[in-house]
Amino acid sequence: MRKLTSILIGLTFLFSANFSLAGDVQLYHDKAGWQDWWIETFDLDSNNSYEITPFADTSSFQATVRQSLRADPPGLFTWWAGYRMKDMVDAGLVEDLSPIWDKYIAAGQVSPDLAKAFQFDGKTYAVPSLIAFWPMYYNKLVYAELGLSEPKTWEELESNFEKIKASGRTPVGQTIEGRWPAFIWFEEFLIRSDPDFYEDLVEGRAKYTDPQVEEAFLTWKSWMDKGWMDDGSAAFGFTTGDSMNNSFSKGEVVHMLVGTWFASTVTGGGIKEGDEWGYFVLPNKNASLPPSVIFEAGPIMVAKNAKDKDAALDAIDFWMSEAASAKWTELMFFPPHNLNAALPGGEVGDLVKEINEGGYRQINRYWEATPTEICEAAVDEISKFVLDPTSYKDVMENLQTLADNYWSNN
Amino acid sequence: MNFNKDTNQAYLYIAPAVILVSLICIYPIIRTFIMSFTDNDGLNPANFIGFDNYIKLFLDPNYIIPIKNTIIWTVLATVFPVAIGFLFAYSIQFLPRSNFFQILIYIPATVSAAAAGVLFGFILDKSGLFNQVLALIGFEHLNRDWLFRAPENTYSMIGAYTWQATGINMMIFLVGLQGLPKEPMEAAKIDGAKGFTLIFKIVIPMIMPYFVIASLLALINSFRIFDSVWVMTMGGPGRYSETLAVTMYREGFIIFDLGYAAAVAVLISLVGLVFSYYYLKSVLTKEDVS
Repeated sequence: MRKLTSILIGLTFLFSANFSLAGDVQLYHDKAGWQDWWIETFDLDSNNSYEITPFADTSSFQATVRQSLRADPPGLFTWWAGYRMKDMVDAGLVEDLSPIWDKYIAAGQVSPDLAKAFQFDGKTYAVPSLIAFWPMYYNKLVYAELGLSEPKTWEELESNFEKIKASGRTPVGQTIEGRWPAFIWFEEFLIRSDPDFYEDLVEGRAKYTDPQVEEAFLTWKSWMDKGWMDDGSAAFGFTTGDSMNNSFSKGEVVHMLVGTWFASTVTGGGIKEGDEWGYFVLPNKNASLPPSVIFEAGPIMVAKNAKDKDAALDAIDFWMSEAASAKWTELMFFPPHNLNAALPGGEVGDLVKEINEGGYRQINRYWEATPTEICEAAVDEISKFVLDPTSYKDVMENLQTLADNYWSNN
Repeated sequence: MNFNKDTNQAYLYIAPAVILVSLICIYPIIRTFIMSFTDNDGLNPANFIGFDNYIKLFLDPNYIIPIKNTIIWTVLATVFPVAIGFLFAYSIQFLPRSNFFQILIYIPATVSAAAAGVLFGFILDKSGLFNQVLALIGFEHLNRDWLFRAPENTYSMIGAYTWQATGINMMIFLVGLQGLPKEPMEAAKIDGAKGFTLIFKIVIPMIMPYFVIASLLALINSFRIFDSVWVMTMGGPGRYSETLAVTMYREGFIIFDLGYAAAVAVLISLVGLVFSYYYLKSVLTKEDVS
């Protein structure tokens, strides 16, 4: 009898355990620093329970997710937008999330423009975990000391740089540390003169040897020649004493072009958001252009072969809701994906308001907008330009060779 | 072949090791070799593409830099740690409290390459310790960001690697020196040999097997160098400090051209295998002699 009771108790535990796992959604992500915020936001979802797995290393995260997609993938995983997710879409390994988008768009709660970063052939394969814009961070203390104001035109921008340089400071910090940041100023110079050309270039409809690219490199070179930009050798964040961010917080470097996700790092450098540092979107070099800003979206996707796919789709529905978006914005200070959620406070909030109300054209970041095979090699080529700005013609040729190799096979 | 009880028992004893090595080592090697003839991207079913990956490796001008850097690494990261290791081993034996110096020089070898990379990232930084020391001794004009400019970054990293790899070579030479018979040394000294003559004409020839072992071991390690480079420069800027092992990682885990990465891995393994063959041959010959 005792044996039978034990078996029954064991079976009860077994079934209850299985029952509790039935609603579990697995989420893999590579933003280990966000782990607590993921948990706090998904805690609001009463329909599902979550098993959230952070990966400290991006490469091992990518390898794990890619290898698992055909076998036993997590229901949800974070990734990178545009071409970075295209091969998964082409292989049919991620779920079409268009019905969920349609529901929220019909309710007027999300902007259809936001979906474009995740769209292929009219279908939307992800929802945003991160929305960021790429404005110029500037040191307000230096601006006040030198009597400068936020530039509204390209000429005003360059005039500010001249005055800052004359004061013994470096007007603009740039970095190619870790390879990828090399594209930041490349894309920015291109969109300030001809955003349509930029979009053609990243899609293979224009060439890296075209005059617009040469103009971008020449402007960049002239800024470096005039000492308006540093040599790119500084680390990005906190890693060393003379990192770009630390130099910015000390007022030695006065501007940085970085995504809005860098805000907490800047404030962590010791200067106060709003009072001591702020944002402006770069004015266009071609004054006849409407305002524009580089836009970055980080996706969450649903694996088609996941055992918990139905629960994962339900989780995505929750994620798009006002409650989840408001919580995520409150915790992360990212612009909300649900239009009913309140904007974040501080500089980011003001920036988002300006972008929304000013009808800014939102242009996809180079990292996601162009094929990965081109981009990964291009950042190394562009780094060569930063090391030796006179090499721009060779760099343009090499970039075009990379593009030719890719587009001739795809 | 006759199997008796003892033989069967012996096979049973080594079976776990054989199974483990087969699973962990042999199977991945075979898989990697097969993968190197495919266009595997980790997502789609792989297609057989013959020798395309190998042809790409040798014809693409982008891979000249990694090949050149790997050769520089293989030569310098063998010569310096072995030569300095020998010098330390030879000098230390004449010092009082030589154990203290042995431990001191060996300690860097116990630090992981990644940790050493982070440490030297700080030391070789523009405002790092190395530049401060240069300025202090009057060489401020040499100050630069050592990891940012090529070819300084490759040579700086080899310097950092030498700091770490010298200790193990010193230990190898200490074993060799301690086992040397005293008579030929004393005879040479009576005949007037001293200083470099004694070292080059008597000591080095007598411990030549240890030089071979240390050099081959250093060759194997330096040819496949990855962790130090990845932590300090990621092969950049502009791929100027990339080595073949970094190329393999980059192609495999950043671009996900796994077939091509496998071809690079096969090449590195084949060269390593050749060095390993000579290394094992010299070790086993030495054991047979002793």
